[in-house]
Amino acid sequence: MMISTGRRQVMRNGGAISLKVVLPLSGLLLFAGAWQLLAAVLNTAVLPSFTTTVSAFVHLLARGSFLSANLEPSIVRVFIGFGIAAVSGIGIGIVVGASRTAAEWTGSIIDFMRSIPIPILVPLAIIVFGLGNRMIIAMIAASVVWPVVVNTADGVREIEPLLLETAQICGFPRVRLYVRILLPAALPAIVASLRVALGMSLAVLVVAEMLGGTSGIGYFVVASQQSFNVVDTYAGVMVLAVLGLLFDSLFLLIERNTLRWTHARLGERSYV
Amino acid sequence: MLTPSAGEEAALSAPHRSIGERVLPGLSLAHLGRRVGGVVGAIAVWEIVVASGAVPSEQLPRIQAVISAIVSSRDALLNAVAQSLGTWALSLVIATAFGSLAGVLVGISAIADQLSDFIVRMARSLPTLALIPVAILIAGAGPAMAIGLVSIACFWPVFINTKYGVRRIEPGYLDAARVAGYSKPLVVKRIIIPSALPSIASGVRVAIGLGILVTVAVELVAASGGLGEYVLQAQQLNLSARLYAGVIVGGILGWLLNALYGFIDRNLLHWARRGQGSNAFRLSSRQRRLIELQ
Repeated sequence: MMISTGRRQVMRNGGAISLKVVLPLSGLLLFAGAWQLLAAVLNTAVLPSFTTTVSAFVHLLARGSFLSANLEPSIVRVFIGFGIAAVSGIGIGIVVGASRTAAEWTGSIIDFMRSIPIPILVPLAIIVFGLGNRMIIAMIAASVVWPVVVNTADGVREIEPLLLETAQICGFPRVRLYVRILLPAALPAIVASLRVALGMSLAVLVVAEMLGGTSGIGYFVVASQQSFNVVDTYAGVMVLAVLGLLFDSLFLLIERNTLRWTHARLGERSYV
Repeated sequence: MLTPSAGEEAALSAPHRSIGERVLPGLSLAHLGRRVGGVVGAIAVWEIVVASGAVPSEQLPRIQAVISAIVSSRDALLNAVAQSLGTWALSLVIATAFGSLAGVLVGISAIADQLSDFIVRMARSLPTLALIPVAILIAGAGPAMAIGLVSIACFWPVFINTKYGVRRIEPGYLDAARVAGYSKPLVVKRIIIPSALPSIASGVRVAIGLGILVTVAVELVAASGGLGEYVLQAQQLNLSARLYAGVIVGGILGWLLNALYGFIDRNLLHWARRGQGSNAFRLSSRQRRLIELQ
């Protein structure tokens, strides 16, 4: 949101371009410089310099075995797990949001499931699904479904009563009411929760791969640490950071191009 | 929010409000009955699944076995919970202190805000949990590493919320202060900090859930004691009843922490909600949710 506002200001005021680009960039440079300096001053085996880490990062991405054995499985797992959570979360959320009875019967269970600190479920998932793909995908889906359920239900509940009454007067059947009225009305809340869920997916992926993976970036990072390959540990974390940034940017891009109308309702001004 | 990236990370634990609470503010007997009924139903489904033999008991033990595991290993469980709670509480205090301080400083200055924007976005999209191996390399698998990492994870939601809170202050208040000839420290003390307090509170709210989550994750990966290591051991020894016992205790713990926050929120922070109704904080619930999610 800040970005889109920023862009608009840039368009309005050419002079602001340099400031908007230069300042964040110098923030990055500041960060890199501080890291480099710290590594030089401490001169310890456990903190490689920024440049060493970046070059290891580049080598990692150029290595075919890393891409096929670690990066690709991780990305596939996130998208499958996230996809399952998104579809089932929106479905459950609409029902729970629309029906007071459903909300009451399931409320305690949903609250309890959301209260479990997610990583503690990984050993349980290992017992049920064994090591590897199925366990990791199940972990992601089972963890990130809850914010989607709760936000969808909230979005449905906050719907303009006039919309519902109009649909009822027009004699909409139930299914059509759900698809044509409730889902679009809840869409801004759903999209906000999906963004959160995508970020969470990456985090859950990492823990699950660290504890019970045989491939993937999380596995790579922890295996590098255990074999005291310090530079690769840092480079692996850097891959994760870039991946997180890419996912988030991709999501914002899709959101901005498909859900233009929601921005007007969200009130960009509050973020400036 | 969070990701366990702080964004996400903050994202990792959306603030809890009971779903039922939002449907019906009052608590009728029938309402309570249905909520309890849901739990009874879930337990019944669990028992039926086990009894039918569809799932082997190593994967899903009977409820009685889990309850007796909780009772028989209560000392070990209590110790583990106490250790996890200690790490969590200390980290939360550290993160709140540094996060709100940095948030106010960065929020006041537009230049600092822009400078930090990229780093914040990067840090938010990096799952803090990915840093566990790095933290083990640097500080070993001890309590200092756990507290350091949990503090860093909880820092982001407090910092980001405080920053937004400061930047959202009604410009009229600042103008009025200038007209009244307030000095800069006085502006911070009389206007900026009081107006940012509700935002700090919602940052802390996110940090509460995020903190317990990262604490457990660190304990699992580093095997550094606490509830995480308890569950990890149960898995490695193939004691599924003890494993389920640990998970259920973890769920109850998480639920209690959120209930505690709800209690504090209702009883100590009610003035903040009043403030949100005034001009300075007239946000739609959707906006507020978005901010909490950040």
